Amino acid sequence: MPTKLITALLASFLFAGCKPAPHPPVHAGLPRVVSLAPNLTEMICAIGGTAQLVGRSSACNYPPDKMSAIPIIGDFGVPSLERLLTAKPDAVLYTDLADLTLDAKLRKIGLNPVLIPCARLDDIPPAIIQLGRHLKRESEANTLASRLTQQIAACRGVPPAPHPPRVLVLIWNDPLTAAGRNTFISDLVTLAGGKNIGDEINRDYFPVSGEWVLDRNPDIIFCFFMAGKNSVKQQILERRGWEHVAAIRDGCVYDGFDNDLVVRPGPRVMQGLELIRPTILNRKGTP
Amino acid sequence: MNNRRNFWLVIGLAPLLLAFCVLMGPSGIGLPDLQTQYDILILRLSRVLAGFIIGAALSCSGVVFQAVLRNPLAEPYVLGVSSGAGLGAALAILTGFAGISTTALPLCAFLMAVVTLALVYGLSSHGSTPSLYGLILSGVIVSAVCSSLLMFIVSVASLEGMHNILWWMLGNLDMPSDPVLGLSGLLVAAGCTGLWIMSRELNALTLGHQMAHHLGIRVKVAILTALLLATLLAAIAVGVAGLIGFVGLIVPHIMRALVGSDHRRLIPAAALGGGAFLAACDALARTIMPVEIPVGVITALLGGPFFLFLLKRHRTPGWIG
Repeated sequence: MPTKLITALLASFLFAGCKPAPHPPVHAGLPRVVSLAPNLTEMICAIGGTAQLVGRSSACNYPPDKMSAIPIIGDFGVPSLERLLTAKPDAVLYTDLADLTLDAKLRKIGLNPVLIPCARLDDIPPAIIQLGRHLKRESEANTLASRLTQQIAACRGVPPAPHPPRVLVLIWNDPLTAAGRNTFISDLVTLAGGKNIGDEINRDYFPVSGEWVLDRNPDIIFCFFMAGKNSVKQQILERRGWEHVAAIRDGCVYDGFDNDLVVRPGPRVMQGLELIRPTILNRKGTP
Repeated sequence: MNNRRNFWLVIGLAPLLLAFCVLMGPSGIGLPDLQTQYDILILRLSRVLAGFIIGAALSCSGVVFQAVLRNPLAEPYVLGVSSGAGLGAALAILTGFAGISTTALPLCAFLMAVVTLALVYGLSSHGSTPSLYGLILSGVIVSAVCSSLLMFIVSVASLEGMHNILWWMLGNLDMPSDPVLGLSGLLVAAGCTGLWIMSRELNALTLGHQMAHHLGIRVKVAILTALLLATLLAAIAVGVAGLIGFVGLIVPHIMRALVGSDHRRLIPAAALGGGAFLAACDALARTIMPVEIPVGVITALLGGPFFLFLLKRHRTPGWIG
C-alpha cells in the first residue's frame, strides 16, 4: 500500500526533531554576534566577547570549554538562514562564504553580514580592531591588536639569515597541495626566517607535482594536515624519487603540528609561529 | 481502478506533505510564532515553494525524456543542460560577475544551459530536423566538452572560487530573490502545462515512432517540442537550484508505478508528487543535522528504497518489467 509508505515517510519527519538551542545570556546593551569562522570565534573570545557570541560554525573549536554553550548556526561559511533568524544577531561575521550571493541574501532578510578580511598575517590586528568595534569592546581589542602588532614587528626586526632555508608547506596529501604566495602560511614561514618555495606561484594554494619539488629541492617540508591515523611524515618519506630531496635526505620533514595553530589566522598566531620557528632557525640553508 | 485511486491520492497528499514541510526547520519543529518569528515562516514558505517548483520541473522533464527516448535511464540532464549550466555558473563565479547581484549567477547558469541546448540542436540538425540519435549523441559530446571546461576552470580557480563552484554544484534551494522565485514558478507552470497538453502525443510516442505516425502524430515535431520543453524546464531548475540529482530519474518511475503510464494523469502526478517529494527531502535536509546536508543526498536515500519497494511489489511498474 502506498498509503502505508507515505505514512512511514511522514513519520520519519518525527525523528528529525531538533530542539531549538538555548541561548546563552547576553549582557544587556551589548551587541549580539554570530561568527561563521573559527579564527573570528577565537578573536571574539580573546577580547572577552564570548557572552555576546550567540552562534558559531561547527568548525569553531577554541576555546574548547566555551564552545558547548554556543549554538551551532551551520558549517564554516555555510550558515542556515533559519538558525540565523532565530539567533537574531546584530551582526553576522564571516571571512569567506561558500555561496557567493549569501551576503545579499542575508541583507534581504534583515540581517547584517560583515566581512572581516583575514587572509594574511597583517590582516589579523585590523580584524581584531574591527571586531572590537562591532562588539563594543574597543579597549580590549586595541590592547590585543597592538600586542600582536608589536610581536610581529619584533620578529620582522630580526635580520634574515644570508641563506634562509627553503621551506615547502604541504596542506594536503592527495592531491599534494602546497601553500603559495599571498597566503597566511607563507607569511608565517617568512616571519619565522624561512623562504616559502611556493611563493613563486601566484596562487593561494596549488597542487604540486613531484617533479617540481625535486627541482626546487626544499630544505624543510612541513605537513600541516592529518591523514587518518597514519603518520603523514611516512607518506612523504616514502614518495618515489624523493630520496634526494634535501629535506628528506637530512631528516627535515615535520608533521604532527596542532594544525589549528598553524593554518588559522587567529589570535594564537604567535604560538603557531613558535611551533615552526626553532626548526627553521636551526636549519642552515644551502646557497 | 487502482491507478485512478492512486492518482487522487497523490493529488490529495501532495499539499498535505507541503504543509508539513512548512512545520519543519532547523530552529525547531512546529509552526513558527507569527508575532516573533514571522520572518522564519516567510523563509520556510519560500524554501518549500522553491523545492516544489524545482521538483515539479525536474520530474516532469524526466517523465518526458523517458517517454520520448523510450529509455528508462533517460533523465533531464541527457542533452547536456547540467554541464552547460555548471560551466555558466563557474564562469560567473570566476569572472566575479556572480558577485554583482543575486540574480547574476542563476541567470548565467540558465543562459549557458540554453546556449548548450541550441548548440546541441544546431550540431545535430544539418539544416533539417535533427534525428533523435543525432540529438542524444551531440548532447553527450557537448556535455563532455562542457564538463572538461568546467574541470579546467575548477583546477585553475583559487581555493575560494573552487569552494563557491563546488557549493553551487551540490545544489541548494535557498532562492536568490523573490522575482527569481516568481519567474521560475511561472515558467515551470507554463512548461508543465505545455507538456500536459501534449499528453496524447506522448502516449502515442511511447508505442514507438511508427505506431505514433500511424496514429496521426507528426512524430518529429512532437518529439522536438517535447524535448525542448523538457530541457527548458531542466535548465530553469539547474539555473536556480544547481545540480539536484535523482528527482528527474526516480520520481517519474515512482509515479508511473503509482498512476500508470497515461500521460494525462502521469504529468500532473509527476509535477505535484515530484514537487512535494523534493520539498519534503529539503525539509529533512535542513532539519536532521545541525549542519545542512545537500538535498541530493536525501532524495537518493529516500527515493531509492521507495522505488525498490514499488519495483518488488508491482513487478511491472511502467517500463521496468
